[in-house]
Amino acid sequence: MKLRNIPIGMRLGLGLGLIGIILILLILLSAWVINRDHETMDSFVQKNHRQIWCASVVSDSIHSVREVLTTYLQVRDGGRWTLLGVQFLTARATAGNALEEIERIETSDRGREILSRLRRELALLDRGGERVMKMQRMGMNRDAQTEFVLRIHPLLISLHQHCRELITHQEQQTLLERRAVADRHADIRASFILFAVVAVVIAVWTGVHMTRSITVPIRNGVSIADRLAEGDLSMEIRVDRRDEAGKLLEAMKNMVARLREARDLEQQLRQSQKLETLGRLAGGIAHDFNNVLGAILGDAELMRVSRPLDATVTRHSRSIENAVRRASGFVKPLLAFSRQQTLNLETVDIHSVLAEFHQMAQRMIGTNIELSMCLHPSPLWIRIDVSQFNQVLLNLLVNARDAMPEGGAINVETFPLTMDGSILAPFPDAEAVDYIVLSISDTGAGIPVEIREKIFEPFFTTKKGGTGLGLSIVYGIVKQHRGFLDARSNPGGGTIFRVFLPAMPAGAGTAPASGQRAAAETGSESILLVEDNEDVRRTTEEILVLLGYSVTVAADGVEGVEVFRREQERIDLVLMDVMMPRMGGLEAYARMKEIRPGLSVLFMTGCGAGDLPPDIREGGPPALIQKPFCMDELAARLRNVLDRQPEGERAGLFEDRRQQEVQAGG
Amino acid sequence: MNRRSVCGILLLLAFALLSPGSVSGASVTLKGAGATFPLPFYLKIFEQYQLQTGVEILYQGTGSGKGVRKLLARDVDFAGTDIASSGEEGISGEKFVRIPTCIGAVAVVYNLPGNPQLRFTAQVLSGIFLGRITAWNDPGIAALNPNVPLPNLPIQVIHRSDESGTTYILSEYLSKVDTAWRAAMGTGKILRWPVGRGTGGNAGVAGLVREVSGSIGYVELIYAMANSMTIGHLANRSGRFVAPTMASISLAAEAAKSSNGSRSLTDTPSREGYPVVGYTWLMVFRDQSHPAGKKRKDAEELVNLLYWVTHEGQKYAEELQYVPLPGAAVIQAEADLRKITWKGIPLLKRRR
Repeated sequence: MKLRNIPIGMRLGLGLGLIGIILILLILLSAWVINRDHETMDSFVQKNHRQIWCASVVSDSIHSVREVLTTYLQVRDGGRWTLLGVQFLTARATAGNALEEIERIETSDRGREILSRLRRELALLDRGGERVMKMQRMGMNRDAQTEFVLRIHPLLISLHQHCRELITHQEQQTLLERRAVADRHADIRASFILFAVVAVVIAVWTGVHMTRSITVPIRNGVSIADRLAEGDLSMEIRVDRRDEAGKLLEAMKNMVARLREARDLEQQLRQSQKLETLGRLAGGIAHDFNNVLGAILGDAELMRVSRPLDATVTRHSRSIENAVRRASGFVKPLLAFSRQQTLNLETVDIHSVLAEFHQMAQRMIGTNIELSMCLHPSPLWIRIDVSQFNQVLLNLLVNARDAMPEGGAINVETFPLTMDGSILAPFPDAEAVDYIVLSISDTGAGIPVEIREKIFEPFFTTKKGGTGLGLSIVYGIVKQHRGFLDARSNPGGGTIFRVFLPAMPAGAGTAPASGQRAAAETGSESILLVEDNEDVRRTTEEILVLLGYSVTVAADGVEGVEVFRREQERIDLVLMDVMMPRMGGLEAYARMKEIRPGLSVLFMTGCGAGDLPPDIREGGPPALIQKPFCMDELAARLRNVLDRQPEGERAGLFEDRRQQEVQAGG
Repeated sequence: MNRRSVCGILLLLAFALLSPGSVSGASVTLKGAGATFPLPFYLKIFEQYQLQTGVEILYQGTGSGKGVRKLLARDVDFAGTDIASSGEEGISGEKFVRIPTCIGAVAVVYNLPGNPQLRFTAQVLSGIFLGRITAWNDPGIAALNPNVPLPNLPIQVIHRSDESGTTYILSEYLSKVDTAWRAAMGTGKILRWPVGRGTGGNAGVAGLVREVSGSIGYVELIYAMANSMTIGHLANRSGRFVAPTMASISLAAEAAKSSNGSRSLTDTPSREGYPVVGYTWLMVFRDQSHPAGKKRKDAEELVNLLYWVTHEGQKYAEELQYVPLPGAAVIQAEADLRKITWKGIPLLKRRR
């Protein structure tokens, strides 16, 4: 088992335990050796001490015997003799016992030899002593004296000599043993030093190994953290251990993954915010510009109508009108990008749109590019403005074609994508709904990473002579359809664009708004015109008057509501700008409806339908006219609204639906 | 040759030619072995007996236990023992006759610098011998000896290592008086001593105590006296501290006689009596005609000897610090002597 797979705590425990066990073993070993040595020494010292002591006891006893006998020979008193006899007994017994004790512990041959001589002589002394004492008791003092001097005295001297001999021998033994012990001590010391060195080496080795196994991964972790702090998220963290450090690395790895996700999301968010801001800017410009164009167009038309016979005026006026329409055409992509175009929504099968588009696409991309369609077998319903959607397809296709000047292949694919948090997680714009995905991939050069964030910005282009509006229009349109886009380089080369559009339930189609247009129609009804821009208000008023309507004007919502309240009986229709200071068109409309629920209204807008409630934005029949408009257009829409008036019920219905949606949205 | 034979053998060589008192032409030798407690007494009286009768008696001081075993093995004609029949295990009283020979005392002897006179109670003595009191300046000892300067010296207990009647008498006394001793050691010829050093015979203990400073031991009084040892005063039943003397031993023996029929003389109720006192005995087979091949003459000589010991022999006792048998004990001894038979007939002849 590898060390790095064991938890640090356990590793520390094992290491310390190992060192502890070694130390304990060392201590036990030394204690045992010292103890054993001490015991050996001790028992030896005791043995020698005992032997020497016993030898001295023997010597003392022999001395006692000599004194007892000497005294015995000098007295003639029976009582004294008795006591001396007991003393003799005692001394003899003591000597005998001591001798026996030495015999028990003496092991050397020399010692045993001395002992046996001692014992022999003691027995002789015993018998001799008894004999001498008996002679004395019998009154044979002279014989006893002679016996003592000739037999006992030399015996006593010899015994003394042997005792001394024994003691000397034992002292020599002690000396020898001492030397042996000293030698043993030296050996023990050497082996202890060896043990200690081994123990220290093991402890150091263990310590270094353990420390390294802990500090190396920590240092590793620190360097990773440093790189993270510097914002380097590109590193790969390798987790090759299962201990705490491994867990730390694992956590760091997860953290890096999360940070990467967060960074990507943030970048996308920033990108979409930027596009949003650009959109607002473009929308604002378009709004003001449209107002100006509206005034110009209106005036030019009025001029032409007021002088119908003056060919020059008519020509110039037409020229102005055309110029204004072209200018308005320039503004349109901006509006598309800023998602403020008025959409003509219908629910269609995406495949039907693609089928119509196919032929045109084939023509457009030329022969050196192969176009393949890989479509989902079932119809996929989406709610789109078909013409806008065609714009999206066209732009993406052109983009793909331009990426492959040498030829290649374009693949168009469709598939449904069931709402799933994990799939849609990378897309900050995704909502929690099912999507239909249209993917268009090419085999071209792909998008360089550094420009990937910019491709949807207006006026950004890499093509010579490109306007830089193509993809930004795509972006705007898709956004306006509550969808989103994803562009990335294909791993196999080339680029893949994916368009995500909210899926619709099958067959939930609505009839497209009828765009039929009649010739400029006139009327005689009474119209309340609410418009803040003075030029536009004046021009529009004149057009309306020209068309035969009787017109009342108001400069903003507040004034409009006041006028409406005052002259409500008279007014058949309200023509009202959406964006106005003080009170906007929508709020004014709401107030007016409070006064007269069955009211007819036609909104004008210069900035597209972005801010309007969905029903109006989607171009419901009565609702909206896009600035700048020409007279015919206005006339048609007015007639349209006014002629529907008898169907007041529908307006009510329309009202109910709106209410419901507001509630659902709230 | 073992220690006991070395220390105890007394070869009373017959100096028949030199002996003026020798009357008997027949040379008879009687052999005995056993207790060292009365050894000096026996050596004395057996020598006297030989002088008077020409009968040679060889007595080995082997210790009571070994003496009895030798008798059982018929190595000897009689055994010396200090143990009353009731205490001798494994020996049927019916087969033997015990004749008391004298009364002795167990003296507590010790070896201390300056030879101070010390007093002991049975409890302190038991504490010392059990190893519970380990130093001479122990408060227990000091309390009994208030005016004696006690050295800070470890106590070395010297005890008997052989089967000993002396040990028996001492342990009987301590068992009677001290419960701790009774529980730990009991009464016996040989004990499991927790401390100290063992040695053989009364003489062995006396010699060792003399050699070892700070030692304490127990010996028959004569050994203590002859070797000029310091003898402890023991508390008797009346609480008096008494030294072993002829008087205190006699008093103790007499008190025993009057108080009970038992032959135990320890811890008798006498006011001035010494508490560790005991008879010593000679033990012989009741039926002397066994085994076959034994001479009737030898048996007769044995009974004569025993009779002499309990009568004429008694006069040598006091000289050796033993107390002679009281009159009643002598009469009892005569009765017992008549129990010794040769083929059913008592060997003791009617005396004048």
